Amino acid sequence: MKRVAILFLSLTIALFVSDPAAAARLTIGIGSIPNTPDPHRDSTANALPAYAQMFEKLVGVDDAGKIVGLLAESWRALSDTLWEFKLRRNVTFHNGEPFTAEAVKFSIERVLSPATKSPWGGRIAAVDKVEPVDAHTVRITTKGPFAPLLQGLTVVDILPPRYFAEKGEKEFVSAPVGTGPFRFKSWVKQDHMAFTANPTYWRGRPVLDEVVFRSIPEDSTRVAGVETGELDVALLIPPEQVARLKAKGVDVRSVNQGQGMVINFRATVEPLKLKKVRQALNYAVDKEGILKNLLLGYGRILDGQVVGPDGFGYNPALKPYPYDPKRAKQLLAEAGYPNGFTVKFHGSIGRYTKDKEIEEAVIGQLAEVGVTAHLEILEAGVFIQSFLGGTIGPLWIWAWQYLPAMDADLPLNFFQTRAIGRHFANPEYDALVARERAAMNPEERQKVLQEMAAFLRDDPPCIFLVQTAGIYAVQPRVQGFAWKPTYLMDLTRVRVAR
Amino acid sequence: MLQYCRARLVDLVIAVLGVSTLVFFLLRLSGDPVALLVTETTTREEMERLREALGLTAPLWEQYVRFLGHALQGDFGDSLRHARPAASLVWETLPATLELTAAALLIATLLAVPLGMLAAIRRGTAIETSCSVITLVGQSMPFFWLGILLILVFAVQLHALPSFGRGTLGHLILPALTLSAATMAKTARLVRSGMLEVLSQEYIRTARAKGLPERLVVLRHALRNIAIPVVTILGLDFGLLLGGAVVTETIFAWPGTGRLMIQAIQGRDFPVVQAAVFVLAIVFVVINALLDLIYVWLDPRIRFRRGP
Repeated sequence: MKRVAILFLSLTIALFVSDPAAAARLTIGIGSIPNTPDPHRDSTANALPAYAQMFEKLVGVDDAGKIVGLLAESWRALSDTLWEFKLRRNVTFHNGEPFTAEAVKFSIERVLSPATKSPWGGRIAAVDKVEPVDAHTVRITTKGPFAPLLQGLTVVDILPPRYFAEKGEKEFVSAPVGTGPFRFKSWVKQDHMAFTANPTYWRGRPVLDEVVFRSIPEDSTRVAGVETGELDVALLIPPEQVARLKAKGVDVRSVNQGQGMVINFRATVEPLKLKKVRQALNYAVDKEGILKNLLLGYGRILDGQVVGPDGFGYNPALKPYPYDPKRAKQLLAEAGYPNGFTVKFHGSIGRYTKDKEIEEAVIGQLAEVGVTAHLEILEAGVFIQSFLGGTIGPLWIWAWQYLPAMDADLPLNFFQTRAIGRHFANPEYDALVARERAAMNPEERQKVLQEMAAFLRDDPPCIFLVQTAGIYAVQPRVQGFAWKPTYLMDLTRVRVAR
Repeated sequence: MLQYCRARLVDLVIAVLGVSTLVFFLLRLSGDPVALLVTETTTREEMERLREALGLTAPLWEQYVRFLGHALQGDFGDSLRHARPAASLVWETLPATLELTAAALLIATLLAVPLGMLAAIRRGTAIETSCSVITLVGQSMPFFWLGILLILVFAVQLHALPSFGRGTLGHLILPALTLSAATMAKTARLVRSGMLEVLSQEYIRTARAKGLPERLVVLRHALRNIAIPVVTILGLDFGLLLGGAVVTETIFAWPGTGRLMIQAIQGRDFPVVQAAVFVLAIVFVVINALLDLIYVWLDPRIRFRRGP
C-alpha cells in the first residue's frame, strides 16, 4: 500500500510541469468560447469578446455608449433609406488582403444569406442592398427608413472576400482571418481559443504576445483557476465568492453591463391587461432588498426603464417605482382585485446570477399584497421557446440585453404589438416605435426613445429590477484590463508583469 | 465464435436503431431549435426563413427517413450551431471522454479490489469499518460535490494538480478520481461480499488444509472466483461512467462528448445529439460484447459449455 502511495505521489509531481510561459500571455477564463471560429455563426454573449480580438466591425461603441467608427471612418445618411460609409484606408486582413468596400458588401450579404444561418441576420434584416462606390466608399440601401442601422452593424464582423473565394468556407473555419489586433492561433472546441499579436495592426501592435480564452462552464472552477494562478482573469464571478478571492489578494472588480433584469409580464391576458395591476406589482417588489441582500450590491436598480444610464435612449427624468406595498394593495383594489389573484410565474435556475433566489424573493413579496404566484422552473430550451411562442408566464424572469450596441431600441422595439411573442400590445406605443425607427436624426431618435421609456414607466410591461453586473477577477500581475458594459474588452494595451 | 459474433452484430443493430429512433422523436417533442438560434428581438419571418434553411419544415416522417438514410452512411448532417458535420464533432470529442472513463474505470478497479479484499479478510476489525466508511462515502457523494472538493484540496490548497482542462496526465487525475468514486465504492462492496462468501467455501478450507499460504489462498483461489461478478459490474458501469462524464466534464472543463451533448441538448442541436447517442450506443454495445469475451477467458466452464 505504501509503495502504491509513493508511486501515485511521484507520478503526480512528475506530471505537473509548470508552464515556462516565455511570451507575455494573458489567459482569460470564461463560461464558454465560440462554437465555431466563424463570427457570423455564434451570437452568444460569451462569444463576443473572443471574436472581437480577431475580427472588427464597421462601427463600435465607446466607453460613453456612443457609436464610433472602427473600420468605417465616417458615415452619413444621404436619404431616409440610403447610407454612405467612408472606410478606413491602409487596413489589411491578417492574410495580407486589403480591406475594401467589397469586404463590407461580402460580409453583410453573408450575414443576410439564409445559407449562412446567421443568428445576427435579424439585426440588419432591413438592409436591401450594399453597393461599393469605390474601394473605400460603400452605400447601404434599406428597405424603408431604418434609423437603428448603425446599432445593427455593431454585430456584423467584416471578413475577407478574396480569402473566402480562394480557400472556401471550410478553410476559413480552420484558419480564420480578420483585421483585428490579434491573429488566430488555435481553437479547440469547448476547450480554448488562442490568438497571437498582429504586428501590423492598424492601431499598432498589441503589447501582449498571446491571448487565450479558456472555456470553463462551472463558476467554482473558474474561481479556483484564479486562486491557483492558472488564470490571469476570470469573468462572471458569483457575488458570494468575491470576499474569498479578495482575501487572497486577487483584485475583484465589477462593471454594470448592458442588460436589464426584470420580471416580465404577458400584458395581453387578464388581469395583467390592467395597467393598475401592473403598476401595483411594481410597487410590491423591494428592488433595493434584492440588490443588497441577494446580489450583494453588485448591479444597479433600474430607473423604471429597461436600460441603464449607459444606454442610448436612457431617460434621466425617470425614477424607480418605490417599494410601497400599501400603494400596491390600493391599486389592486382600484383595479377590481382587492383580494389579489393567482398567477403562474416561469423561472429559471442558473440562467442569470441568483435567478432562483430572486424569483423566490419576488414571490414572497407579491404574496404580501395578496398576489399568489406559482413558480414553475423551465429548462433553458423550453424557456426561450415559450417566450418566443407567446405562451410563457404571465410572469417570467428575464434580462433585456441592449449590449453590445448599448441602444434602447433593441429591447424597446420588442414591446410593439407585432413583435414576436406579442407580450405587450398598445397602438399608441406602436406608433412611437415606428417614429423612432424612422428618426434618422440621432438626437430626435434619442428623444423618441426617452418618450417610449416614459410611456413604459407609466404603463409598465414588467417589474423593473436591476441592471446586472459582470463581476470579474484579475491577478495583480495584470495591468490595464477592463471589462466593458458592452461585454467586450480592449486587450491592445494590457500587460502581464513577469 | 462466428455464431457469437453474428448474434452480437444483430444486438448492435437493434440497439442502435432503437435508441436513435427514440432519440429522434423525443428530441423533436422537446422543442424547436430555431427558437434557440435567434436573438430575442428577431421577427417571425426571420424564424421561418431559418426553419426553412435547416430543413425543419418537412413532415416528421420525411425527416426521419432522411435521417436514417444518412445515418447509415455515417452522415448526421451539419450541426445547427457549429457549422460543421455533427459526426466529426462527436468523433473529435470522443477520445477525451473515453480517456476519462477508461482512467476512471482503472482507478476504480485498482482501489476497489484491494479495499474489498482487505475488508473481507480483516473482518470485524477497524480496517473493515474504515473500508465501509470509505465505500459509503464514495457511493453517496455526488460527482459534483466531490469534484469541487478535490479541486479545492489538490489544486487550490496543495497546488499539486491543475484545476481544469485537458493536456497532461496530471490534468486527468482529478476528473478521473471524481468519476471513479461511485463505481469504486460499489465494486469494493461487491468484492467484499463475494470474498466473504467464497472464503467460507469448502475448497478454500481444502486449500488451507493442504498448507497453502493464506496469500495464495486469497489471490488464486478466492479472487478468481469473484472475478466474474466484478467484471460484470465494471462493464455495466462503463455506461454509467459515460453518463457521469457529463457532469464531471462540466466541472473540470474537460472537452469531451458529455459536454458536447449537454450543450447540444440545451441548444436543441438535433444532429449533434443524434450523432452522439448513435456513437455512444455503439460504444456501449461493443463494450458489452467484449465483456462476454472476458467471461470466457476468466471462466473455463463457460468456454467448454456449448450452445446458449
